[in-house]
Amino acid sequence: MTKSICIIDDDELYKLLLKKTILKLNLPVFVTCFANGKEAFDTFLKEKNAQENLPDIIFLDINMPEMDGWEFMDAYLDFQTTISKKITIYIASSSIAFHDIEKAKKYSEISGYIVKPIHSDTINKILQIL
Amino acid sequence: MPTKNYTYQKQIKTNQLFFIKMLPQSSPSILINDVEVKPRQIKILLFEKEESIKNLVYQQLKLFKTFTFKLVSVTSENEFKRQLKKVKPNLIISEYSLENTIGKEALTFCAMIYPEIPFLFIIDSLGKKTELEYLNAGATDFLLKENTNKLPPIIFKALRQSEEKNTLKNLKQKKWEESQRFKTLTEFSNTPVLVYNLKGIIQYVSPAITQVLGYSVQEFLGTNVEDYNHPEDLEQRRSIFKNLKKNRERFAKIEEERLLHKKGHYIWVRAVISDARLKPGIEGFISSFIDITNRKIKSEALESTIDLLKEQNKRMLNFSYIVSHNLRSHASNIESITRFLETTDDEMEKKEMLTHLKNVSKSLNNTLYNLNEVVSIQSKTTLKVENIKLVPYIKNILSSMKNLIKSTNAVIQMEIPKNTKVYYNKGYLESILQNILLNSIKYKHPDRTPVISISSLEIQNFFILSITDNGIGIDLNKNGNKLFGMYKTFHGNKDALGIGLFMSKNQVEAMGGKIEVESTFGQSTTFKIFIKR
Repeated sequence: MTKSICIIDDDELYKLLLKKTILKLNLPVFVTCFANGKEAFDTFLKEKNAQENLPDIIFLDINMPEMDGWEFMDAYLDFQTTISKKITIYIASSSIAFHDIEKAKKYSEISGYIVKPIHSDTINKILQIL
Repeated sequence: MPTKNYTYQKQIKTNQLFFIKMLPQSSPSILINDVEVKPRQIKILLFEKEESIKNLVYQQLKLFKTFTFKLVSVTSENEFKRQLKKVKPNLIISEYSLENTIGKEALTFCAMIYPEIPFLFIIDSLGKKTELEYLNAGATDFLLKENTNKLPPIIFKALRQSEEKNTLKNLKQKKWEESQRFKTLTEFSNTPVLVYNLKGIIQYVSPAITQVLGYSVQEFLGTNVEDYNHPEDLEQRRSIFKNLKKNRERFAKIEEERLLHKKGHYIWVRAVISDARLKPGIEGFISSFIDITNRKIKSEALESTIDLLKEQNKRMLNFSYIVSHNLRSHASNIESITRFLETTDDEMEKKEMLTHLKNVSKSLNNTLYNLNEVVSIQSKTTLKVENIKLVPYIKNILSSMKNLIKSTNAVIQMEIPKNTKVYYNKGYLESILQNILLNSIKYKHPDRTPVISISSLEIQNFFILSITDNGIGIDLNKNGNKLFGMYKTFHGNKDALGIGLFMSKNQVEAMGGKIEVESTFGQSTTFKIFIKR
């Protein structure tokens, strides 16, 4: 079955490179990209009744304009209760700040904290667990 | 008081000793409080020319076998004076003649140098003089010639009286010295001491008050202690005073409070109040205080230095996060690109990656440039500052923006007093104002003509420059903490760089001020620039 991966990040180049990395694995994977939390969340809300369109995996950045990663998480917590689909969320940030890593641990909905860049091995592993 | 008690006991002991010593039946050696006391020798100076009287006195004294007497007999006035100084007798017995002045002069002389020595007269007859007159003349007692057998009791009486008199005199002297000592302690000290009643009315104040608070003692007496308190410290004083009264504790401390100096300024003091309502002679509260103004000023300066260091430290930490984050994001992209370059054989892909690499290096360069700017702002210890006339200066900035103002029909209202001057770095002020004014126009409300008002306000240590617009506003609950961060944008504007306010904040802080923002989402935004005076 095709898995859907969603990248939420304001760094265009990063998104492009990550998408390329994923696609090069030649796996049945579908990739969508959003520039910030708000853009992604608004789209998710629209797909509430077509949950098959929601992603299986999210790579979420922290520092973004309009709605940052934490704000997205807070909005998602409410949204999560209205859907039945299981979505696995990873924080993908270039921040190695202790307080960011600690904060990520506080969310049980966050499956891991990945320091950028994301290598193909990491993606393979994540898809295997799924 | 222990001192008083002690003297009292001593007095009793001395009397006891005296009586025991005087008892004719007593043994030569007596134990008092386990201490062996040797009966003393009583020295008597006898001024008598008549041999028969001399003998009579001698006979009488001899009757007391257990006591030793040293009798020195003189017959002339010169001899009397000489022996008086030499022997220092415990008792003087002198003849007294109505006809001449012999005895009288001896008494006068003796009263002058040894007034404490009891003086007995032996007289021929009472004659016209009454007993009282003899005693008035300064004699301790008198004895008629025919009654010499009464000599011993008279001697004892005289000695005892003199001893008691001396003890009393010593006591009085001691008491006087003590009170003098305490008076000197309070009056001479540079620590003001005051006594006041339950209502706070001052009943005593030591002269040091003039030195510390400037008022004279007379000015201070009768006023209320609370009159001198700083209004903000009154509540503290009242509650401490209330506890002192209620808890029946002896002391209460006021760690620090402000008292009004006569010249109108306040000084910081540390005070101690003691409840002496039950102490005779005080019947009120005793308070003393010391001036801690200098210490207070020093500790305040220290605190503000600590605050400054904390603030600087916070800024440095924040900056290190910024550096780390911004450099890392580029580094991670470079890492990805090189991986692609290593693994691909596709020439097209290689070419694409090289283009990306070029872009990354360009934006990395930009980031480094911006970070360098911040470092140079933060590390500048000596910035050129000058007096800037605000009104023409701001007008100049506005004229450089006239095209933008014209195209948006923006209305700028200046509400700054004409001759207002600030002491600031010209480049920074221009950059800060330009940045905020540009934002005010850039984020104008789509339905309204932008109206921007610039006003000023002076508070204690700062001159505040306020810029208020009627734009779209900022949701401060959501974005307030990120507003001045680096590379933070909120409006989704493509041309927003997220560097302007970050730089402005750094510049304002480098000048020792701060920047604040107030906003009603959808209505208006006010930026306040605090300029240190």
